[in-house]
Amino acid sequence: MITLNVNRETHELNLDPKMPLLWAIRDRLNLTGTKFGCGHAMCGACVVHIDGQAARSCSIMVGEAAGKNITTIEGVSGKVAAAVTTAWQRLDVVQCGYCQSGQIMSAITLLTGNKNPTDDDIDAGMEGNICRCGTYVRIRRAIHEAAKALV
Amino acid sequence: MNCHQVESPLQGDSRRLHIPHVVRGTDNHGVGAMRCGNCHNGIGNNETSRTPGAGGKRKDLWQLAPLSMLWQGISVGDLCRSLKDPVRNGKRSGEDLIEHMTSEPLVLWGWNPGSGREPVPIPHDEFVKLMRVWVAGGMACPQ
Repeated sequence: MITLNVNRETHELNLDPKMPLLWAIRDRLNLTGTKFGCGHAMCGACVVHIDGQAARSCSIMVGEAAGKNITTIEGVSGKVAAAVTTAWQRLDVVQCGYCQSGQIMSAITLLTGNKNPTDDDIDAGMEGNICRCGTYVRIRRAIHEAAKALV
Repeated sequence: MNCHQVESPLQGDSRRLHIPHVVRGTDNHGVGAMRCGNCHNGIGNNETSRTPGAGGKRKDLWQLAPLSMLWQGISVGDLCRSLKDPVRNGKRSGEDLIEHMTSEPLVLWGWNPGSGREPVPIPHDEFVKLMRVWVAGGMACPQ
């Protein structure tokens, strides 16, 4: 049995330790806000937080995540998350939306570690989140706006 | 070689630039939402995503090697001299190097790199034997 602590709830699940965490989140816990994009840790649609750090749930196995604090897009909270989601809504960042939960999770991680990122910091921190709709300009603008709200 | 680079790791047997692009950061583990442990499991290779991993009981092992252990762009002779220099190799003696090559999870990963990657082309026990011969012979390096 594998113990997964997700969004402050504990779940005991009969899982292969090598199962991708993404599968457990979506298929066993019905938390479908986190998306499957590529399955190879290249697109960022699957980003969750594990012990406060961004993690690509398609690549992290449940055995690796067992016992740690996992947060999905459904469970984000706190000042940084509020600033990011407020900016995302105000600036209408989302187009189709598929990549955006991963974008938001990565942006929260970026701003948690760096309250005033430069454009280069944003490039480096958000490098792995791909958007087929091309919302990058709005994402960058929203991160800067969220940073101002955190001052 | 892929992890003994200056600023960004290489990827795969073809040694292409790591996709997605990641950088060293201040602690050799990347930056922000692009830290090495965000994708690379300590418990081993992920055969579903084909992301390599290693670490065993040690946490957060996957990283760029420290700059003192840089192998990018140096000759075989200079690599040899770097490997045996305690100032640059983590203060390791010849015997420590043998132990490192015998049991270090990141070294052992080379013989179990996961699907789509070729393992080191000689068996691990033969490699360790060669290390012992090299150390016993005084750790000579080519010019």
